[in-house]
Amino acid sequence: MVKVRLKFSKRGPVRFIGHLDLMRYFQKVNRRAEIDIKYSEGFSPHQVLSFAEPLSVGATSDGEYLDLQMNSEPDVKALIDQMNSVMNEGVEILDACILDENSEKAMTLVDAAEWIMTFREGKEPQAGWEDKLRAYMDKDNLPAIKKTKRGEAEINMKPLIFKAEVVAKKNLVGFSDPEYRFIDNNLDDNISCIHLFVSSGSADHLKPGMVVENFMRECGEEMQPNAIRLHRVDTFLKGEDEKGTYEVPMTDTEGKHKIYL
Amino acid sequence: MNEKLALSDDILLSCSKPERYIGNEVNSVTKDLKDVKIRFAFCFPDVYEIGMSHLGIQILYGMFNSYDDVWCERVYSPWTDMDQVMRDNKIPLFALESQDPVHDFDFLGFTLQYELCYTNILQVLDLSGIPFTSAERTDWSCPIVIGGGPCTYNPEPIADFFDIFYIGEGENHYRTLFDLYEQCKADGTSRKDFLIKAASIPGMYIPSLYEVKYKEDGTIESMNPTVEGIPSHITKDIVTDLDHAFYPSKPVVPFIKATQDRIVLEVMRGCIRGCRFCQAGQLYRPKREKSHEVLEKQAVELLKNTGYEEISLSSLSTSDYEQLPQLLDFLLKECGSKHVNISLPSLRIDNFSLDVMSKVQDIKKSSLTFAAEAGSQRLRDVINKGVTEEDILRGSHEAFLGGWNKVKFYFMLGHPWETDEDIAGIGEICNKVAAEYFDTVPKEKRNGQSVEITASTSFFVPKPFTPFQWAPMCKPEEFLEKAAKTKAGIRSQINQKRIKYNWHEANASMLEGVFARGDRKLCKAILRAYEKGCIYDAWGEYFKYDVWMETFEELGIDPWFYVSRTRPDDEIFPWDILDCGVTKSFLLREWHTSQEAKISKNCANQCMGCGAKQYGVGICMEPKTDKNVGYAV
Repeated sequence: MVKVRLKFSKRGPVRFIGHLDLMRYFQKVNRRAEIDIKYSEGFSPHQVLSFAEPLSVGATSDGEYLDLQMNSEPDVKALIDQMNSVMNEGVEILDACILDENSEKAMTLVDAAEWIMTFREGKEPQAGWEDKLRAYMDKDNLPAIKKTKRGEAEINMKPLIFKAEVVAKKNLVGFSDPEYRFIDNNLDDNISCIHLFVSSGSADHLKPGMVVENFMRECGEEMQPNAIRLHRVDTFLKGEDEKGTYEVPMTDTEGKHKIYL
Repeated sequence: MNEKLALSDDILLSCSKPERYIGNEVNSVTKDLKDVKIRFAFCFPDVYEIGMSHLGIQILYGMFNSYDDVWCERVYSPWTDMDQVMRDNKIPLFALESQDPVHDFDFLGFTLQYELCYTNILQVLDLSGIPFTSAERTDWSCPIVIGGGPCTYNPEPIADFFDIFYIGEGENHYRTLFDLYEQCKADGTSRKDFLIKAASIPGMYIPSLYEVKYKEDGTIESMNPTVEGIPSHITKDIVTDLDHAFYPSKPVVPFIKATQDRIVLEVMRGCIRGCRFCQAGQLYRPKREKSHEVLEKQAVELLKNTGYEEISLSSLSTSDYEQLPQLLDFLLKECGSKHVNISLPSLRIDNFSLDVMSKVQDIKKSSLTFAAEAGSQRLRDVINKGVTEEDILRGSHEAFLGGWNKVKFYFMLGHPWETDEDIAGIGEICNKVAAEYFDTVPKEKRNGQSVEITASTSFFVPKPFTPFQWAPMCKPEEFLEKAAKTKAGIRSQINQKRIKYNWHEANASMLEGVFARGDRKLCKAILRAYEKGCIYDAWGEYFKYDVWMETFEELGIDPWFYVSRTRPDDEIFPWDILDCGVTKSFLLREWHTSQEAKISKNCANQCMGCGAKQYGVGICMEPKTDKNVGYAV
């Protein structure tokens, strides 16, 4: 058995496909591509797939991850081509890597995520919000109420925000990948983007929307429903080397886009 | 990728299942408008998950899009939450692929699968901004509204809303219709003249070109063309060679789970059984098979192009498909290696089918199904359902030996000449099957389990083009009384604890009965009920029986006229203008034979002279045999 991790994008109308339906979608893709997928044992064998971190419905992404199990080791490039040839437009395999047999599931490894948020038309805060938000995020203490399974807890968001900027779309450059540009044909080049690099995963998870929500509350404004358009740039796992701890995209085995924090 | 969406993010994020409205599914077809002369919006007037399960649309969608000059897109009824949002925000109904308004299309086609979708047709027209009636649609400013499918075999209750009904199998004459349309648009022919010309294409019924005259008692005096040169009757046309007919190799695969979330492989059309209550058994005659070689090729392609994990064989009676053993042999090999499941719709229960079922299903989870339809042998003879008690007990015995312990029975209540003894027979046969289990499986082999029998009854609705089209239908209170008797009958049995009983709601069946054999006078009732808020009548939670009854009263329409009468032998029916290939004299003969509780032979054993031989294909042309082809379930 060989474990494989795929990196894929989710763009355009398929952003409204829910997490479970996306899982079913990939099961069909694997059958259409006739890849040597491993099925579980038992009377009703099924494909063993798992996503790194479910994306909320309506959000787009250039950095989603899916782990799957195969019977034999594939040629990574051929696998990507094979899957993309039967893929629906809007979902595209961007990268893949073969994992160590003992590696943990993507879901348990997620440690950080890079996000871009924009306001939907008519739902922006009052003009001049960009400077106010910069000043807000510069503060040392950013209290927020976080809903947990056990109830509500007050947290400080500040240590969970690793990097943050407010920048025009045309000037946005990826935090971990300096080649990364935010492409979305439906958005104006000058639209203000809230660009965050935050803690993610099961422990210390920070929903990027929480930053905006608390900011607006402090400004005395109520955030409207669906005010934020959410885009994930990438998802990261944590590593450590002689230079210190870093975050790295989940299929970036060569460490091309390491970011030290 | 078509990035355009007709609905805003705000709307899509606050409605249930946004995936119903965004298109872009695998195998959906997008074309360049520059190359397209005809835009066809194909609608199943119910919610997306139901509509996406329908084979007919997939066939015609694939066929239309195989024409370079035609772009066919799909439309479904917006669910009730979206319906409200679209009205509130004045958003016109759109087709899924282009997300463009349906109003701007050349054709809007409806598939009419059941009577209780009629108000949803009006919903679709309304949300599209298309006038409800053909009479109001006088120029080319809105699409030609065309209907097909089983309900077009009595389209009169919805005749006002349609420009054309297509009678017969869609593969045959759409190309001719499209050519005529393109020619008429090019040379400036009026919409009315286009419809008159279309009336001469086989199978095209243009209801506005026929005048109905009524007798004083409300029955029909005559139906005649109002334009010279158009046919006085419209004859069903069928595919003569299914092996070479278009079959979609790339059906659209939805993102969300549709009701039929699997590949559908149609193995044959038509049925040799002449069950007297069954409309499909008459409409799709004669039985025509596809060769197993063609089916095998299609199955492989479909698996490759869809990625589905299940394939289902589709027909009215799969056990009558003569090449079934070869086909299943192939599928078992092909599917087993690919982890694809095979689903077998109700097969005749015998050693062959049990053997196959044990290979493709988990015996512990699956159940046997007997569509006995009536509880006593006498009544099964009345309805010409060939299955005997001996068949059922022998099949059960074999199945219990094979490890099954769940049995499902389907019955109908309200067949013509049903007596209390017939109803009592339902409990009796269920009890005998339970007893058969205890006799067959010794206690030490039951592994702590026991037999589980589920009996379900639905209410019989007489349909056009069946021998029972003359029969009266029970009123809802009579139905409920019969259900109560059935229940009491089951509860009086020794093994009653092993039998579960379910029955259907009666009021919706009554409305179905009104529409099934209704006439044009009902058009205004359907429109009025829609205006009063009736929609999604097939969905129990939205069905408003009181509003319907109030509407009939308001318009002076007696609904019982359509359901409760025993129609005289010589009555002219609203659907007599159509010819489904089976003659009225044959149906009448069968109606009389049923009164004597006598059965008629199936098409494989003897030709009963129904009239379908005129097509010169299929079972009609094969030599008759004495072979016992068993019964249909």
